[in-house]
Amino acid sequence: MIGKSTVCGFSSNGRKQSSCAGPYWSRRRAIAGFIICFALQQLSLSQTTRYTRTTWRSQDGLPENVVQSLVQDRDGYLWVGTTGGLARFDGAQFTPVSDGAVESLPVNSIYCLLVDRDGTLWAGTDGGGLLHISSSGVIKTYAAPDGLTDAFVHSIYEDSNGRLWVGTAGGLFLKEGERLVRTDAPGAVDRTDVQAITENREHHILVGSSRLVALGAGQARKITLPGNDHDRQIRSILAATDGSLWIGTDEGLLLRQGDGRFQHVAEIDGAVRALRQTSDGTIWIGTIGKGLWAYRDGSFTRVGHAGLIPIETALCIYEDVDHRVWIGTQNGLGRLEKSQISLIPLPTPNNDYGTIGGAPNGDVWMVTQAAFHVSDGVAKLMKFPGLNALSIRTVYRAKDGSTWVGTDGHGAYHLALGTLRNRSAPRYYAIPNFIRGFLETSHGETWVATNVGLYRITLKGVDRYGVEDGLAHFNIKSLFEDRNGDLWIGTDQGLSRWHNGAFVQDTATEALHTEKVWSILQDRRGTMWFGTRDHGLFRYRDNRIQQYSIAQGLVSNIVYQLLQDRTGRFWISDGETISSMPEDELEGDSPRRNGTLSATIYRMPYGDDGVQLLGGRFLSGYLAPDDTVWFPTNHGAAHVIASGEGIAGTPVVRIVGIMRDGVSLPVTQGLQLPAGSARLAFSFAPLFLGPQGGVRFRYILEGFDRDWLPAGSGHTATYTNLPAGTYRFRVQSFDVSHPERITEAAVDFSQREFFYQFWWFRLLGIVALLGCGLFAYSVHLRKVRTRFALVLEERSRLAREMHDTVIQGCTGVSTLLEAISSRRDDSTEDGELLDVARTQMRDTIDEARRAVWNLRRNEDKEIDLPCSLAALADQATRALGIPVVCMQVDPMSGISGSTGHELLMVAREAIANAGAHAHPEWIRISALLEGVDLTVTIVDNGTGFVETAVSGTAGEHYGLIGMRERMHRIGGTLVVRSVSGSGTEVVMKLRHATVEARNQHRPLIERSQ
Amino acid sequence: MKAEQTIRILVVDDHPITRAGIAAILQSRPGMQVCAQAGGVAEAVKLFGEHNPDVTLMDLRLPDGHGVEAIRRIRHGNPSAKIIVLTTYEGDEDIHQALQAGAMGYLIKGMPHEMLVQALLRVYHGNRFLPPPVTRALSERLPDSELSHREHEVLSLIVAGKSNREIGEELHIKEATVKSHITVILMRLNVTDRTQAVVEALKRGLVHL
Repeated sequence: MIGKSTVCGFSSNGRKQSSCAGPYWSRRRAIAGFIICFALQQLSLSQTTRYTRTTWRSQDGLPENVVQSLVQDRDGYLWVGTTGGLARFDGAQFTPVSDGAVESLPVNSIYCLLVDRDGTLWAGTDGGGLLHISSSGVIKTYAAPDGLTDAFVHSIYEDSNGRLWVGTAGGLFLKEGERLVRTDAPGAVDRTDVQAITENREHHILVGSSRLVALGAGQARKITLPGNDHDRQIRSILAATDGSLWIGTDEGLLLRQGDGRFQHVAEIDGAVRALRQTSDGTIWIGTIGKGLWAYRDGSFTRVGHAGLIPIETALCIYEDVDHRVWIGTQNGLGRLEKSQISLIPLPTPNNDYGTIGGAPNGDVWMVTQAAFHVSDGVAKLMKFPGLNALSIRTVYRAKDGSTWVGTDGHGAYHLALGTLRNRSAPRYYAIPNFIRGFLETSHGETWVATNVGLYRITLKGVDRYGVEDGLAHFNIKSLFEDRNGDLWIGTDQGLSRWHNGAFVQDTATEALHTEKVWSILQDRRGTMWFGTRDHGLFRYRDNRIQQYSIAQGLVSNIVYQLLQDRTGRFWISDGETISSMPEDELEGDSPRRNGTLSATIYRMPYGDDGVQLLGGRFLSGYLAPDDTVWFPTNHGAAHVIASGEGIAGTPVVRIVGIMRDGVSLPVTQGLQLPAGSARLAFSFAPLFLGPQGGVRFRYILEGFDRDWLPAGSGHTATYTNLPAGTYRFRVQSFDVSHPERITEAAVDFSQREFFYQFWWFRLLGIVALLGCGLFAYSVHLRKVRTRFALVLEERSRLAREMHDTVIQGCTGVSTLLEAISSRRDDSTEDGELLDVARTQMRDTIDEARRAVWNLRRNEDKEIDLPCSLAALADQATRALGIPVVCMQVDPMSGISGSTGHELLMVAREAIANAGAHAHPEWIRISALLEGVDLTVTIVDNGTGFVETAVSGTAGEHYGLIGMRERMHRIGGTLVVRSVSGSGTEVVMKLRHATVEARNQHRPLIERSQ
Repeated sequence: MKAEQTIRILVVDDHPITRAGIAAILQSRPGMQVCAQAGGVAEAVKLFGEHNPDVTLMDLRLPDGHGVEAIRRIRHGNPSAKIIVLTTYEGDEDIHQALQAGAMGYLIKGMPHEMLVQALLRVYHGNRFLPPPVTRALSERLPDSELSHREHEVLSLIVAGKSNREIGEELHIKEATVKSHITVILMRLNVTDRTQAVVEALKRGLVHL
């Protein structure tokens, strides 16, 4: 940062700069007589507009520092022609034209630029002819083959008829069709360097080389200029809106006004390279080595003295559509914008603290170490008699016109009106330590805030209030009296409210009990506002607290001073910026989300960019009677004159790049991304030539994000591992001063699936899987069927065999037995035997028949075992003639037919054995079910047998074997205990006897098929 | 019991011992006489024609055909022929078929000789004789378990363990047709799969091994 934009002024070290043009001598005013005021410095505030300035140089991306030409295209881009090439500028970044293009520029030095009425760009080069750059970036060169016999193009102009004029080092050309035709007839325009072409109000084309020639109505007319043609080189021509004609030459500036005669402009020294009239009427004059000048209202002022234009050379001047002025210099590109802040420097600036307040006659007092009276843009030191040696902290003007002065540790002084005349000493109040500020209430009390508590000065004396009295904290930062006469005290730790002679608590004091309350305001609607040092603004209305912070659009969470002007606009100062916000948005019922409060930021004028605003004492801001606001800074008093209309223009957001896994993709609609994009990044930028500090972005990836996401400072949105699908990336931008002016850019794209993510593949997979499953199932089924068929076949064979042999035989025998029986007398002993045989035969046939069925049968019906046992017992009782009883039979169900059958068969065998051999008196049957385990016991009191002896008898041996085999077949055991002479016990044990249990514990045999 | 004339009986059974036993039982009875014994369908029909017995005891399982066939043929020639089935089968379909064919009684082999005599007497006198197990089996027969000829063929082949394709080839019908037949068979037998159908068919005497 270098220098200032004022004509005259102080640099930060206070060194006086030379006064250049029309110095404004501030009027001395008769200020109150007791103040001995004298101008420490004669400070002049220029009436010319002050500018904020931004510069770009090669380190910022400018191709080269020598900027020779500037033009803005219809899209809003600024094209910058340098000695090192052509670049397109979007307000933040330079995109070189020749960058990577095959068709790079034939020559680097771009001397002049033009956007024609079709919107396409023309560039005149130093030795490379005339270039035409289409909107798609195709460059066409016009050179000797096209009629342009000189390759040094120094001026291009499109007149009101759409004709394109080209001035070269070797004459003037007019574009006809695709050819360039030399138009300077001998004698009219010399074969000299045509550096300036323009059109005047009469639609004459003015051509400047060594001479000035007007072309019009088919003829060329030389305009005589003072001086010798041979020594002259015209660099620029300006036909101003008022009809005046400005000619910039190597020797200086010639001006022809109403009288028709050219006069040399004495103020401008040196070669005038650039002339431009901006929309506000100002005529800008760029010299080589002698600075940039502005002519307005009849006076010339030098702009950007002391280094705005680093080597004091302005090669080109351009005004964009939003009325920002761009200066091409030999050392970079500069942008000038009208500043809305005027800084009035103090003779002795102070970085430590500062307060500001109202002085009589609408003037302002600013106090740092000393007090200064600011009037008409000039700050003058104020001297207080008797207080010369004291360091003054704050000055407060009471309603009666008297003045309170607060000092650093030396108490407070009241300079009453009466004492002024008498020049008597001011009245002294021994209030210790540092005085923060004064407040006179509507009751006529004066309250004094200090760093050790609050003092009240009444006619009766001085009262002190501290923490012990209910004050939130001893270090007081702000004081305010509301409309009801309540006093609000903001401290470094909490807020206090003085109501009817006592500190009271309410919602606000409770809510802010830890805040550093540095500013208090009651707005014109009666709402209370509290500005805090760390957490933004708090609104107190209807007994409810509402906080506003950066999240709601505040510029900062630091609030030094909050003011409201008479239009209702709120003004906030923080440590670095002054901003304003419209009343309606802050008064709204609920704060806006996503930072959409319209905050207008006011930039400090050039030269004061690093200004620190001061806070923590009051007042840290002042609303003057003329409805302008003042804030204390370490550079002096900042006066905001402008309205709060915010920045000009609207940032136009563009998507400038798409990166997929580190590879840059073209920004086109309907982009098809191959499968497996791990990282996708969209970069976006605003096309906005104004300051971009207030530009905000938000973006959303439709199809992925649910809501808009605010973009940080990165200007990039990154997504990782997006699932396949169709998406739309949208980005919006706006400036914080106009959150309603939204621009949007969007790009559609689709993320392809991996082949295995396609629906048909998945379907195919499912079908294949199903197919495999079905195949496996059918194979299994076939296996089962085959096995079953084999089993069935085997069983059928067995059944057939049994039928053909056993049953057939048995029925035959049975018939024979019946025959014998029918012939005999049943009463004989043989007859009885025969009957037994007959019965046994019938039973055998039944058994055999049933066995055949069991062989064939797969399913098994349940059997009622207790019932069957009872039937067996009855039958045995009849057959054996002794009581066979079921002693203890548990009720049971779930015994399968086959299992039950085997059990019954074993039981019957056991009973038959007992009856046949042991001669018992009784046989008892019991069947006990323990859980799923079944025990069937047959006990008799017969003779018993010795087990070893049993095995000797073949019949019994086989009987027992058969019984064991039956039990084994159903997975049970058979135990026979017999004591000779005292009976036999046959115990059948079967675990998991029920069907359910059997299914869980597959037995070995029963279901092996 | 009043005096009656001799009942002439034809015994049809392929098993000689059975025939001998029955003959022995009947020969000892006054008023009963085994006039002839046959071991097959053809022989039975032939001997019936020759002897014209009062009552015929007919086994259903015969080497050259089914007893029901013999009953039909005999009844065809002599509609008033009195026939008692004497067999090892007690399936409802057997009984049904036999009774349909014209049998008047139905005995299961292994019965007491008194029952045989009783049955012969009752049938001889024009009454039916169906012992309790037989009537019970008959009552269990489902009314619509009547299979068509083709269905019966299919069922026989299922019981024989043939696959659908083999059945189709054997009967010269399409496999799909076989399937539709099987569907009907399963429905008629009130079963859910062909295994149950096999068991049911055998049990009820629809098909014999």
